[in-house]
Amino acid sequence: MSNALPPFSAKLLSSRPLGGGMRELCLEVPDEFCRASRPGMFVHLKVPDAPQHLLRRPISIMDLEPEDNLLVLGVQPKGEGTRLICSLREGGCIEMLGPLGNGFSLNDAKTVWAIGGGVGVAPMLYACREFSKSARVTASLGFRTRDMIFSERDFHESAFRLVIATDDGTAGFHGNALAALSSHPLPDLIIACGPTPMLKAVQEFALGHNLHCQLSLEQRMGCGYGACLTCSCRTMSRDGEEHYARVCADGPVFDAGKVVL
Amino acid sequence: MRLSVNLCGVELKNPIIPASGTFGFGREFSRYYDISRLGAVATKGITPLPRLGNPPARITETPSGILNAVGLQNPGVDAFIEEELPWLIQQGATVIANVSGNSVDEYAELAETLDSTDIALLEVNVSCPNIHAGGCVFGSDPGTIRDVAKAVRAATRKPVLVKLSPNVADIAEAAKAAEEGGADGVSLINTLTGMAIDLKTRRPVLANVTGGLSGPAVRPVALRMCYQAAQAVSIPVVGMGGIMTGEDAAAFLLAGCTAVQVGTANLSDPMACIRILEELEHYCSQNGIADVNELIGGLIVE
Repeated sequence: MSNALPPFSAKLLSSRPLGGGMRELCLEVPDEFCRASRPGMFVHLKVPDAPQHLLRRPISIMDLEPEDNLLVLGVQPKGEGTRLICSLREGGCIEMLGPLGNGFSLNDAKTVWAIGGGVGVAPMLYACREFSKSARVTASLGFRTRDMIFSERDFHESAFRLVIATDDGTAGFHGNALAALSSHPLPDLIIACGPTPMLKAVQEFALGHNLHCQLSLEQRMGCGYGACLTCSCRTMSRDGEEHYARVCADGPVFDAGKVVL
Repeated sequence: MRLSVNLCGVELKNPIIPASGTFGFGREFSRYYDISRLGAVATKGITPLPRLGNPPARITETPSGILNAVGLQNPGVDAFIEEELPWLIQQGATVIANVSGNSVDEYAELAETLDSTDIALLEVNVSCPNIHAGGCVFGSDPGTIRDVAKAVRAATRKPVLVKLSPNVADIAEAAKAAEEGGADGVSLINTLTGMAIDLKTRRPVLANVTGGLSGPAVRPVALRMCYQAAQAVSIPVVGMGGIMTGEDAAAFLLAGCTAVQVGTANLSDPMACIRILEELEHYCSQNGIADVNELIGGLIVE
């Protein structure tokens, strides 16, 4: 059974700085891509014109406009590969694999906290937009400082409520994105993506309050489709046995009760 | 055009085989193409008991290469026989079972356990650089390579390939040791031991500290070692090391390899093996080669 979308070339329609050094890339993707895409999934990008960079770069889907076949990515230029991806000119093409992985599941939740930290804010936008169709989504976004904030207006439009937090107090709540929600009523579901210390805090909070919670993880990744077993994270089965799961194919979204951070 | 080759008595549709550890048990790739189109499939390394593998990070990119230290994560030989092998056979794949043990006895037991199954060949990994207990010691000493080959040979009727480590003083000696032990063929190279350091944290990038280097960065070394091994033994050589294109594959065949394995390329592109197969076919047709066997050992050294 051959049913996965093979790697394809996506045209870069627009590219603009987002703030915080991030870059927003808008790419043209086929219908099959749009049909398969869910919040929390990612794409695996080949570094353009750089065969010495053998591995693709996993980037979460920041937004999708299926009616225009438009995929939006927020890319943080961290190393040479992501820098080259960010410097791609409009009209140029990038080879893409995806959408990959398992996304967030709303299930029957009516109220959701979408907690994002740093570059982990990006996938929360897509989740806010999709889940707001049937739930009240409170987005809480944490940044190091005011200059790092991105896509605030898009979140304003898509979330029921938006909370901004900065580590240094230069904008919004002074502290982290979880603490910023301390006065809010508890939700049916928490979804989160961000640095490990943030995810740990969210996990502890959710488990302590018996809340459904899904965490999106990041790990150094190889193939992106489950074959090479390199992007591992520790998981705990019900009988208390530890395993290594594949972040790319078993995740990147995991139930907070199953993953060991 | 004839693409089929005979590897240790096993007829392969073509000489392209995905390398162990880069292809799982084929399931992920069957979502992209029909895996029975491949010459054979070398499975993820199998051990007597399930192995969890190393903690992350397990992979990092290096110039034209990757470093990995997965640590032989696998479900164990029983789960392989019950769950993975029947599925592979059902897909029409020719299966090369890659096995790893911690002692000569373990290798022999694995061979015996797999003897009554539908695998086509056994590939004995004496060279995994990422487990401390066995692989490295086995792979670097010709005497032990011979002992493992001998014990495995005695324990199975299946053709036996011994997968050699490049982390040795003399690859020809290692290949000869496998042949003397009774191996039907050798495959090489496994990864070269390497390392990467994160300057910000001053820590090794990989949790295992060291890892195995693969990809185009190692290709010239691999090609040289395959050539030397093919010169040293009369059994078939299966070549691998950074093969990314059909022309790379052709070079390994010219150096004396009967078939090639494609590893790292599978991590950049799920279609890599099929693309390489088509490119090899194209190379042959462009160069008036009617039978891929004409390439094998066809290197001209003045």
